[in-house]
Amino acid sequence: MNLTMSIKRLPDAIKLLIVSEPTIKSRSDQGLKLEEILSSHEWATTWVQRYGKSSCYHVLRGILIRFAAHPFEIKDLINSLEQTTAMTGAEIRISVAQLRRSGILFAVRKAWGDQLLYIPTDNVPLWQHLLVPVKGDALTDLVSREITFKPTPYRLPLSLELLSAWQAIHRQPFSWTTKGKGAIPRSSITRIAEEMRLTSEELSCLSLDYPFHEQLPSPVALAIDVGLCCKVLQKVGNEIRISDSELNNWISQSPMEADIRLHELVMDRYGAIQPVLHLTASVIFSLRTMEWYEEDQLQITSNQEESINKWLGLLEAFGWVERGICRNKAVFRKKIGLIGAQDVLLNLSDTIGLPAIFVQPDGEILVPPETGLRQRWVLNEIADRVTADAIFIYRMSPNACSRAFNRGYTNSFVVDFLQVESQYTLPGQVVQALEDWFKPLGKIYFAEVMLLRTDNKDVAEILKQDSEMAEKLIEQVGDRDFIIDAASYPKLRTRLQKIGLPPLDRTQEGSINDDNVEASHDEDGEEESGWVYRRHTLSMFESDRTLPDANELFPGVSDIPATWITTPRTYHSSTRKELILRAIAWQASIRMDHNGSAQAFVPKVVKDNGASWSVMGQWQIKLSNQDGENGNPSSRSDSVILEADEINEVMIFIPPLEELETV
Amino acid sequence: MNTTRPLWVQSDGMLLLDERHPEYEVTREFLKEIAELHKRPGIWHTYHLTQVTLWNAAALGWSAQLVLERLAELSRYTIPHTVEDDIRTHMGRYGKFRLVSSENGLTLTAETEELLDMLYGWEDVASVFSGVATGLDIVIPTSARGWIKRELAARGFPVKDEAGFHIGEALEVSLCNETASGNPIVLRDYQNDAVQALLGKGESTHEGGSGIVVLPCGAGKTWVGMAAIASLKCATLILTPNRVSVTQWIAELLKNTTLSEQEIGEYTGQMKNVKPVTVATYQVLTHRRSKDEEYPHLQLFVNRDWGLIIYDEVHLLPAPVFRITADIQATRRLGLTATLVREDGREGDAFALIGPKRYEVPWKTMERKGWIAHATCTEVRVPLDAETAISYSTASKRSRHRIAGENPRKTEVVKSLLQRHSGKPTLVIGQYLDQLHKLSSELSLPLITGEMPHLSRKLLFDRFNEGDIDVLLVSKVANFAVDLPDATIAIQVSGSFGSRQEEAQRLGRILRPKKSGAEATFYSLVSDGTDEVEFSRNRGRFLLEQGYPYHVDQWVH
Repeated sequence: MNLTMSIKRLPDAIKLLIVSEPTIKSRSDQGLKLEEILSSHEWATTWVQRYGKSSCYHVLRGILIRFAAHPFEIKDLINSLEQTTAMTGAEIRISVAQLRRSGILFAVRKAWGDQLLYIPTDNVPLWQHLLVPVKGDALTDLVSREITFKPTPYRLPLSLELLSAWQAIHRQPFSWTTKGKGAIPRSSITRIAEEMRLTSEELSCLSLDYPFHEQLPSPVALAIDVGLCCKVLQKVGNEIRISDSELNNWISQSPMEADIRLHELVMDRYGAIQPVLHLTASVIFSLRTMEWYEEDQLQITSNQEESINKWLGLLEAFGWVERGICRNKAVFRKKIGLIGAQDVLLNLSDTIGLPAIFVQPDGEILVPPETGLRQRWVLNEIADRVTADAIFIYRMSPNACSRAFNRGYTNSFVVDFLQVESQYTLPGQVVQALEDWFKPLGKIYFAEVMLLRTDNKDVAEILKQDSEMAEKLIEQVGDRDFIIDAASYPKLRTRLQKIGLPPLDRTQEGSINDDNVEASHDEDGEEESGWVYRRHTLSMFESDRTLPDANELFPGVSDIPATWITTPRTYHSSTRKELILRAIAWQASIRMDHNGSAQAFVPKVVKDNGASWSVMGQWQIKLSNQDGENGNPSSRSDSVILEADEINEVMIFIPPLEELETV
Repeated sequence: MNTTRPLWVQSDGMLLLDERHPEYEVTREFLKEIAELHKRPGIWHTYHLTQVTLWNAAALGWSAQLVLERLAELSRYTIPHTVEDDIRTHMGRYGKFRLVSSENGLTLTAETEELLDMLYGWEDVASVFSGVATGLDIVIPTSARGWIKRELAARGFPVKDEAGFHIGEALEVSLCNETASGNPIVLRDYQNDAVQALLGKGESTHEGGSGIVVLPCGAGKTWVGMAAIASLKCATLILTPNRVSVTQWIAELLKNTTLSEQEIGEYTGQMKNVKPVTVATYQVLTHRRSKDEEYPHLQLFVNRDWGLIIYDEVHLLPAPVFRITADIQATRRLGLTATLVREDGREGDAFALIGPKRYEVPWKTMERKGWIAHATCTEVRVPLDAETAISYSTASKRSRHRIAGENPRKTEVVKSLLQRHSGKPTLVIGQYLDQLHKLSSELSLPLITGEMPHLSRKLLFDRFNEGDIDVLLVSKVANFAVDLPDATIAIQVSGSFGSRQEEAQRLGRILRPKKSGAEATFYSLVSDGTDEVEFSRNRGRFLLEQGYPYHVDQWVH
């Protein structure tokens, strides 16, 4: 789930608490919206500066590396972090509560009460950039010259690949039968697949699961899924078709703008399913466009090699990345700006005032990369595509004109379109050719009309004599038939009954009922609108309405003596045992004097030995710098057993609870 | 993206150059070295980077890195990596294998042991090796020179042929100092450049020597051929498409070189004289009595010690002549043409066997410099009369073309155009003999067809050139290699289905710069509302791509 939706679903009480968090409050007071603050790099940097040395920083880093935006249960987080860091479950639970309080982590509750936590999908890049940044710089120009390439065919950016696929659906909606298991006509699949260069192998890393999986190749499923998510496509009964209004919005973009939206969607919808993929995607997102990097630089966690290869392969297939070899190392660069809207505007400003297309006297139309999707859509409708490369080349031809005419385009539309978009008077040869090619079109066409058939010519005569009838008879065909306007059918029927010639009943033809259009998305947004099944659909669950209080985090904390968690004291053996058992229940550490210095010990199990007892656990060791695993400044010793009499002054350590405001 | 740059580079090696850009000229000069011009129909000119053009660039001394840097400087968008890769691969392969003359014949030298191993890995290639390799050298028989070059080139490794050319039988010949009328004979700059490009620096035996020169009709390709003969001073075989052309070559050689009649032979269906300079037709070389028989006249290639073979109108070269050309790689070869477009799509063979394109000047450049006449092209749409329209609509597809071509109403258009251009040397060109005969009798005009004896044809051409006849009706015999320098107006009444080169050749008939400075006008009469309109559009494509757009007029009478 993304940040917008997560905030939208937050209960007001939690929202207020988040807004009161010190780093957020100052910005909120300046009039910034919560969504703006929580997605801002500037705020995130301030947060890191403030909390960089706290447990919640390390917990957030741990979550990012282990789960990215993947939903998780707190017990899985604790298990994982306890294995690799010295943090205790208590510290982790408090950190999680604090991260929720800071609007970084969000929570939902399943119907049966289990809690799922998550980082909003679109905030993963924000935190990755700050918490696990890429090491090293881009290759220098000099080194880049040594790059060699695998012979791979040119790939179109996904925006253009999808445009063609959607155009195929526009020409004929994608439909399936509902009898039995259902089936999709082969031609329906082929028409879309033919428009795409993507292969199923290239998408295999996404492990897409969707209806008609065995019949439908994954590139086609992807085109449909993305189309539904972007709302360019809509489900109407057992059919998927173009939504005209949404299509108009979509094609008002440049390919670059569309690719940026698509990249976000791909990362959120497909990348977020696997944390390691999501993190890889996020790391790539953070790099500069058109600069070469070694693929090894993307490794910010262990065991990431395969994901890097998979995700780069996917981005390469989507035409967003190029890969090569430099000095025996795999290298890559982002081809198109998967960048912010500001940069897009900057890039597009170079092209303002330039023609979108160039029409050559031989009827070829050259289309530069920055040309908008709208012009491309129209060209696909009216011209033959000769080349789909960096520059698209179209050609006008008799067949193209015939197809265009059948799609409702006239000669004058085509001439005007080409003239306006090329900002130039069309070459005379092109005007002449278009005139020649359009000239014979539309002179004859088949039409379905409503026929009023009489029994014989005498009856026909009677109808002609009746003035009310006569004005509805458009044209007489032969002695006894008339073409009538279908709209006047009810009136004619009534009139015929009145004049004593009641007609036979007409069978009504079925028509498409717009009520069939499925609400393809709920009020909350996109998550349910696709074609591909999703494992975790967070929007299905209720937002968690509470932040845990101290009693919830540490059951019974209000029933114990306050000194148990504030000051090391000497207690009777049975009390010490009780205190340690409580610490174990809370997954907390104990502070005690050992060998003359205060040390932290994480108790795990208490063993009774007759009258005495011992406790097994680990020492928490402070490290002098931040080189602990995952950047955590402490680690744990091997398991040790402490006898009851080795423990003198002792207290349970839990982070300060007073910071834990709740609702 | 950088909108201030003139070039677009496509991943398949297509380059699009903006002629309005201030850096157009300098970019064009660069592209001439590394790519071939495909077309220039409008403001964007299309070039192609190919394996062969990149080998040529390497042969000219360009390195892949320099080419890439220059392309990057000129390109609006990043160079696609496939192009980068192609440039590095193909240019890097140039010179990996070299052929040099040795005592035992020819030595093929590989640059590295890996390359030598690769050669041995190709069994058919290895089968021509004479003995085992010494170091990186392998001896091959002289007869395998063309074959091995073609085989290795087909595998992506162009052989740097340093074995030199066979000098051939020596012949004392030079260009005359002045014409019969006393004007000095001086080659035009581009003709000199074309000869230089062909022969290479210093005319040494292993540099240059073979290749194709592409010049528009009327630009004086024959002069390039004569200058090459005079430069090399060797026995020369000249191949042309028809006998009229044979006669004209002989006449030009006699008029402009020091060669005498005894030194020039005609080898055609009618005469079989082999002399130090022999002019033959493709037709006679490929003549044989039956399909099972060898081509007896191909012996002409080896019967004399030729130092140069000139292939006039090389785009018409028939397949058997291609085949024998592979066996005569030691002989210098010059292809002359106005267009590399081959209707059979075998442009690649011309490159491989005659040689790469050594020189080309676009039509419009020649026109700007005044070396060919400025020409306007007009398509006149002529409606069918009611009767013809009915027979057209009910006829078979093939007959329709003829009915449209022979549209009787074209006669009145021809008459009107002749009136409009009265007194100007005019050619009326047609495809169908019936139509031409009818026009000839209705308009009382002399007609030249393939049926006419050669001598009578020559007589009429001479009378036209001398100004005794204003208008000449000609069939397709006059499509190629017929020199009618003063023809100013051409009216095409019918043509083959969609032959682009035919249209170009026909326009070429009137492109010689006129003494009067008059412009040339080309009319193509097309039956309105028939398939001829589309055929005509296709026929005009080559000219359009060279920058000659058609203006369409509707015939209303």
